[in-house]
Formats: sequence, structure tokens, C-alpha cells
Amino acid sequence: MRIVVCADAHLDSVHPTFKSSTVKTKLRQEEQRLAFSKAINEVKRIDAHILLLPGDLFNEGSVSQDTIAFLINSFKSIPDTFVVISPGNNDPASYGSAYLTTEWPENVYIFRRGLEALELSYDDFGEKVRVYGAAFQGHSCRNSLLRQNNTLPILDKNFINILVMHGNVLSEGEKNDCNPIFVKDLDTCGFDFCAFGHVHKFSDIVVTDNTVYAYPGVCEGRSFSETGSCGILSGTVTKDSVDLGFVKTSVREYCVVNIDITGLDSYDTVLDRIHSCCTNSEYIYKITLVGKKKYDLKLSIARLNEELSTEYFYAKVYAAYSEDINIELLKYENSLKGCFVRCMLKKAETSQDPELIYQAMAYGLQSFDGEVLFDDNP
Amino acid sequence: MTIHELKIYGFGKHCNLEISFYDGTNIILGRNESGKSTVASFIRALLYGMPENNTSRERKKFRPGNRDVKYGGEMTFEHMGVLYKVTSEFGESKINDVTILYNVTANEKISLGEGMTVGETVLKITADTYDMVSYAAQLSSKPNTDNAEADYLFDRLMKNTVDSKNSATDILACKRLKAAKNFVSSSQAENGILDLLQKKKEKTEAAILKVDSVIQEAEQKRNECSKMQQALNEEKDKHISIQSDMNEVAKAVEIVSLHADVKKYVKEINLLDDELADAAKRTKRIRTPVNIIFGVLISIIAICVLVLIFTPQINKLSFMANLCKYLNIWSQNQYIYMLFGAGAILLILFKIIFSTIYNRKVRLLRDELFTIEEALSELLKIEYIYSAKKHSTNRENINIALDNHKSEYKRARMVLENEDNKTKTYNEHLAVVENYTEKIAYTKASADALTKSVSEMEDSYFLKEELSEINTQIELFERRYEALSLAEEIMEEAYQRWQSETGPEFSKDAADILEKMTNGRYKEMKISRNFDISLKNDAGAMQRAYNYSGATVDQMYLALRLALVKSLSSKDERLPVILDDPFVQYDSERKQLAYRAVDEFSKENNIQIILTACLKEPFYNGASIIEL
Repeated sequence: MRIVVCADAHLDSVHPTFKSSTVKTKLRQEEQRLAFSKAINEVKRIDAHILLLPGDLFNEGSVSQDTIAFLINSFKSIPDTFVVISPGNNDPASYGSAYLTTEWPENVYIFRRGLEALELSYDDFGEKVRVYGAAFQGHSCRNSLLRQNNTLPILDKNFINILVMHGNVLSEGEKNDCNPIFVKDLDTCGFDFCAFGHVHKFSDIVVTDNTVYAYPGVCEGRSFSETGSCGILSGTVTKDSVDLGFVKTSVREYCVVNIDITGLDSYDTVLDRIHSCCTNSEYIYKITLVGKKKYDLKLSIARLNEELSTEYFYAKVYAAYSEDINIELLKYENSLKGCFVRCMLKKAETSQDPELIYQAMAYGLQSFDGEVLFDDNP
Repeated sequence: MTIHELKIYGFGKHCNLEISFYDGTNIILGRNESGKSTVASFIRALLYGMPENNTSRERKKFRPGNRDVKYGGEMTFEHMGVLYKVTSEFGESKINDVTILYNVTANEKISLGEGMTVGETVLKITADTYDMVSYAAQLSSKPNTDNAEADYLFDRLMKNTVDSKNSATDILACKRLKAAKNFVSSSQAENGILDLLQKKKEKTEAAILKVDSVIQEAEQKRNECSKMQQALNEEKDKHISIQSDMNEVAKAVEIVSLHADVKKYVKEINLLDDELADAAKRTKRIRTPVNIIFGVLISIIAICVLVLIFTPQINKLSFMANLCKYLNIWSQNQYIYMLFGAGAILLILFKIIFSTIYNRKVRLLRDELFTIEEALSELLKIEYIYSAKKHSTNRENINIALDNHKSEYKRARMVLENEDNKTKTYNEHLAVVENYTEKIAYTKASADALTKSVSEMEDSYFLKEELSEINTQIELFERRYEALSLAEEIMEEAYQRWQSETGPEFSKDAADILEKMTNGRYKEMKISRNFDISLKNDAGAMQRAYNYSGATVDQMYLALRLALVKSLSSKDERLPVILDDPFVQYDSERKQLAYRAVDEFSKENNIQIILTACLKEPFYNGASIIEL
């Protein structure tokens, strides 16, 4: 059976970084839809039997009518594919939800309450399929949706049993208030494949004792905790095997980059180093400068940010470096400076935090040369 | 350190210039713009290099005009018993600069560490320290108040003279650290970065709480809506039975109100029936005899006709002969025939008239009856065919319908007896339905409004991310604050230590040098916080610097600088002092006194002095003089 899994699209939810620019906000919203369209294209490409959407397709509070119309049209464009949706904590099937008040196409099935099974049969491969799912009714769910009246479902092994659900897969003893799904329970049930949403990072295909599950992650990154390529899962599921691959759908990637500026002696060399590490001007970068900055290197983070803002779609620089001070000469000086360095070094001998001593020393020496300034005043 | 020789290939005005220096005082003589200061700059450039790149003023300033001349030179100097030679050639930028350091004593090249200069490698002092100690580029009346290196020395001097407590609080370095601390966190104004970050954190936390609470509230309202909808659906299910009850009541009311009309119609029909029956009776009373007579007449006439037709045959019959006899009798009496005829005609007329009248009346009665029956049939919702021929069928149908109606009426009466309860139940149900419908609409509107307000707020997920970032920033700046506090604390400690080790000597040296320079005139001086110097005048009163000449003030600062040099350079190996035209404001007497003080200072402390001057003075004898 050919399936595509697309989770956590979070359509119309844009990071506040871009809220200062209406143009960028609109662009990012369009890019989210484009990423989702890529998922639909993948469905068409492999002629998938089922498209599984394990929740957070949109954010209930901010989804627009245009986006709902876009989704309806997308689903209509794949009439031979069954679209199965398990609403998540951001798009719960609560009273007034778009899931309940909108007329969805016939090939769409949306779980609306507790665990239930949708039975499908396909002539082309002669198998019967049961897709299990459940809906969030609100923004949290302390009890596992996998259990109905504290009972796990008993699966008919004559079917290909698939679970599509939004929640957190946990080990025994762990707690969570967003639909805790225990691995032990999954193994007890023995689903052939479980498609999960809620965790925004691709989990790889996880094989446990008696089941296989995966989180595809978001299909388009929205923040720096969703870095790198984002996408969907596509492939086949049978009674005996799960053969799914990751397919990239993200239009723009979030990147967190640490750049060591040790040894660099000018603003221009620092900028060059940034350019060499951040090679794609269309990406969204969080750049942290680390290492030891040369003592006489005057570096303005504000100036860097201003310059990079014209070169990249988005780039923000943070300072996490320490000052590189040559104390070998200073500690012999017969001056207050030399005395200060000697006192600091003496303190460092017994300190649990030598980095702090070093930083204090840098500030003290800076105070001799001029105002003690920080390169990165927020 | 003692400088022995300079060889300038090309540096500023100088090209292929060689200068030798000696211990003690060395004087470089030259007119204005002859390049005296350039020599000092050359020495510094060989020890500490040129600034970064070709765009810097200094690199450009000293580049020889003739590009064929090498930009650089050599210097031979002795330090800590070792003779060194440094050769430098300067390029377009620091990367192109070439500096070679040679240990002449050991006959070996010394490699400079990456980024290290000759001064740092050999003298083990930074360029900043060299600038403060050795190189007085410009002697001004007032030290650079931004120079924190000198600031603490003057602070010491000030504290000595004003008998204040010895604390580092007032020195520039500490003030700057304090300012940086206030920038990070100001407990009074609460506008430091940390304070702002804390406020931002509180605001973000509050926003998260608000978003979460609004979401929760919206959710609660939707749950309420859901429950109320369920209850409403149950009420609507009940509605079906209640509605049927009410329908029954409505129907009963209809039947009861119908009954009156039915009754009325039935009464009218009965009356009409009675009338018709009466009419029929009356008619029968008259008609029957008339019909009998008419019948007899018709019979007689018929017989007579037959007799006439069949006379031959009849004549054979005896009774017929008798009858004919009678008939002959009748035919002979014509009046009997006329009377008989008239009677017949009258009878016929009477019948006709009577029939007409009777028929008309009956017709009218019947029409009326039919009309009422039709109306009744309409009420009873049965078919009625307006025709006399179908009257009995109609009447049968009406009777059946009436029977049904009677049963329905009975039932309706019973229903209406319970009517009040049913109406009350129905009204109560309606009230409940309306109540739920209203509440659902209101609650849903509230939930929608809350959801809308959530959509206008920041996404909770991103707020939490922002909070995490703020916390990271707070940690960063808290650490910085901690580091600044530590720096301030250690600065105080270092100051105390320096004061006890070096301070008193420095103050004494400055005062001694000044006394010598002024030939004992000024022994006591005080310095205020902004470096305003006061001297005790001849009358014994302390007078501010502006009361004195520029030369006098210069003497004070020269004394301080020389004391500074002695204080900061190591006892084991003093650094040279380069003074650029230090006596420019002095008159001859002062110049001599100052020169002698400087020369004496040099000899007493084994410090090489290189000073520049425009004019040769007689008291320069004994010094090494280099004329440019």
C-alpha cells in the first residue's frame, strides 16, 4: 500500500521574526502552502492510496478561509487518494472547528472523537486496511487517545493496521499532557505502521519490538528549533515491511551556525568568515560568534546585523566569544594594570570558574583603554 | 633598554639617515618641520609596528615620497644585557610588513611569535604601556583625562594631597567598570539591560499565561457549547413526541371547533329532511287521491279506446255487450261526457299545478339540502356529487363520515381535557429550546471572540521560544554583571596593593622633581579630581593652575610624567624616555632648571632620555647632541 505522511504543516502560523514585515510574513505563508503542495505532488507522483495527516495541519485560531479553500482544492486534486486526518492540539476537533463546520471533499475522512477505525479496501493490491485515529478535543490531552476506557484496541491481523495520531511517544513512567503514547502500548497493539505528529523533527523510521513508527517532522520550518531540511514520508507499507523514505518539501531552511572568530583580526575577515559559512542567501540564519576575539578587534554586532540583513533573507548574529588578551606581558608590568592582572591570576588559581575570571580580566583591562562596551547590546 | 643606533632607510622626511644615541640625555636638534618627532615615531614603529593598512593616516604619513626608497629602517638597542638589532620594512598593509629581530650578542635570529611585536617580545610591555611610559608624544598642559593608565596615578597623587581615604572608587578605570555595571543593571533607574530583559521576560511570561488562559477559556466555552448542543439535540428529540401531542391538541381543537359547524349542518339537514318529509306527506295526501282518480280516468279512457278498436271482437262477449249498452247510454248523454271531460281536464290541471308547486318547493328544499350536505361534506372532507341521483350515496357517505366525526369528537374532547398540561409541557419545552439556542449562540460567539483574540496574539509556541532566548540573554548579562563586579572588586584590591607598594614613592618622586625644576619654589602641589593642579605660592596659599603661567603648569606635568616613568618601568631595566620638545614654553632660566632636573633624573635612575629641541642651549653641554 502506497502512503504519504505529512505532519505539522501549521499553515498560516508564521514566526514573529517576520511579523515586522508584512511582505515577508505573506511570503512565508505562501512558502508553507508551497511545501504542503509538494506533499500533494508526491501523492500524485507515487499515486498514493492514502495520505495521512497526523494533526496540526493549521492553527485553529489563525487559519484563514483562503487556506481552508486551498486545502479543499488540494484534496480535490487527488480524488483517488484517501486523506485521513487526526486533529492535533493546535487544530482540535472542538465545537466550531473548521474540521466540523467545513464541507470537506468526499475523499477526506476526519477523526472527530476518541479512537476509531476506518476500514478501506483496495482491489489493486487485494489488501484490506484499517486506519485507526483519534482527535484532540482541545489544546491538551492528559490521557492516551490510544486507550478507550483504559483499554487498548485489539487488532485484526488480517488487515494492514495503521495508526495515525498526534501526540508524544514516551517510555514507561514518563508523563506528558499532550496525548502520551507509550511504546509498550504500541507494541502490545502491534500496528503495522504508526504515523505520528507533534514532534517537529524527523525521527527516522523507528522499529520497536512489535511495531514501526515515525514522525516526519514539520514540512516547512518555522523557527530555529526546526532547522535543516524538513519534509514528509513517502513509500509503501505492507503486512511484512515498511519502506518509507524522507522527501524534502521545505522551501527555506533555518540554520544555526557557530562561527569561530579566533585569530581573525578585522571586521572584514569576520564578515568573510560568515559569508563562507552561510552560503545560501535565501536561508534563515542564526549566527553565533564563538572562540576568542582579538583584543584590539572592534566588532559591532549591530553593524554586522545591519549589513547581513541586506545580503540574506534573514540573518541575526549573536556574540558568545571571549576576549583574547595577552596577559603574558601585562602580568610583569609595574603598573596598576599589571597589578590588576596579577591579582586576577591569583584569584583564578582557586576559582571554580576560570572563564569568569578571564572575562572579568578582559573587562578590567578594557576599562583602562576606554568605556567598557558590549559588542551586542540587545 | 638603551637605544644605540638608528638607520632610517626611508621614513617621513628622512632618507638614509643614521643616528647614534648614548646613555644619559640625548638631544635631537632641528628646526621646525625638520623631522624631530619623526625620529620618535620611527623608534616606536620599529618596536611596535605600523597600524593595520594603507588607509591609516600614520602609514601614509610616513611613507617616503620616493617609491624607490625602502620604507623602513634598522635600530640597535640593548636590553637586559643583550644587544638586539631590529630591521623593518613596511608594505601596503600589516601583512606586507617584514620585521627581523636579531640577537647580536648570541648571534642568532629571534623569531617573533604570531602577532607579536619586538617591544612585546623583548621589552615585555604592550604598546599602550610603552606609550604611557616611554613616549611623551606631546606635552600638554593637561593629561588626557581619558587615559586611565595615568588617571590612577594622578588619583593617588590627589589622594595624597587632599588626605582622602585611599579607595579605587574615583579612578577612571573603576568608574568605567561601574558605568558598565549600571548599563547592565541599574538598581535605581531600572533601565539597565538586565532590568529591561527581566521586564521583557515578565511580559513574555505574562503573554504566554494570557494566551494559554484565553485558549483554555475558549476551549471551555466550546466544551460548554458542545454539551449544550447535546442537550439541545436531546430536547429536540423530545420535541417530536411533544410536538405530536401538541398536534393532537391542535387537531382536537380543530375537530371540536368543526363539530359546532357539523352539528349546525346536521341540524339543518334534519330540518330540511323533516320539511321534505312533511312536504312529501302533504303532497301524498293530495296526490294520492288525485292520482287514483287520474288513474281511473286514464283507465276508462284506455278501455274505451280498446273497445272502439276491438269492437267486432268484443261484440261477441256478453259483458261487452252490456258494457256497450252502458256506453251507448253514456254516448247519448253528451253532458255527461262534457262533465266527465271537464273534470278530467280540471284534474289534470290541478295535478299539473300541484306538481309544479310541489316540485318547486321540493326542488328548493332539495337544493338547500344538497348545498348544506355539500358544505357538510366539505367539512367532513368527503366527496360530494351534487346530483339527486347520487343523493343516497352522498347521504350514506355523510352518515359514515358523521359516525367517524363523532368518534373523533369524543376523542378530541378527551384530549382537550388534558390540553392544559400538554400546552404547559410544550411551552416549557419551547422555553428550554430557546434558552439553549440562545446560550449556545452567546457562548459560541464568546468562544469565537476569544479564538480571534488568540489569533491576534503571538503563538504560544513562539512565545516560549522567545522566552528561552530571553533567558539565555539574561544568563549572559548576569554573567557579564558578575564579571564586571569581580573586575571592580579586584581593581580595588589591585589599587590598594599598588598604592601600598608604589604610590607613596611616586608622589614623593613627583614632588622632588618639581622642587628641583622650580629651584625649590614649589614643593607642594595638589591635584583635584579633574586634574586641576594647585601650588602653594610664595604667600603660602594654594593657588589654582590657571593663576600660573603655562610654563609652570608644564613643569608640574613634566615632573609627574618623569615620576610616572620611574614608577612604571622596572627597577632592573628602565625604559628610555622620549620627550618631544618638552621645554617649548619655558623661558631660559626655567629651561635650564628643567633640563638639569631631567638630566639629573636620567643619571640617578639610569634612564636614557631622548628629547627634541629647536635651539641649542648652552647648558646642553654634557648631553649627546644630534643635529638634523
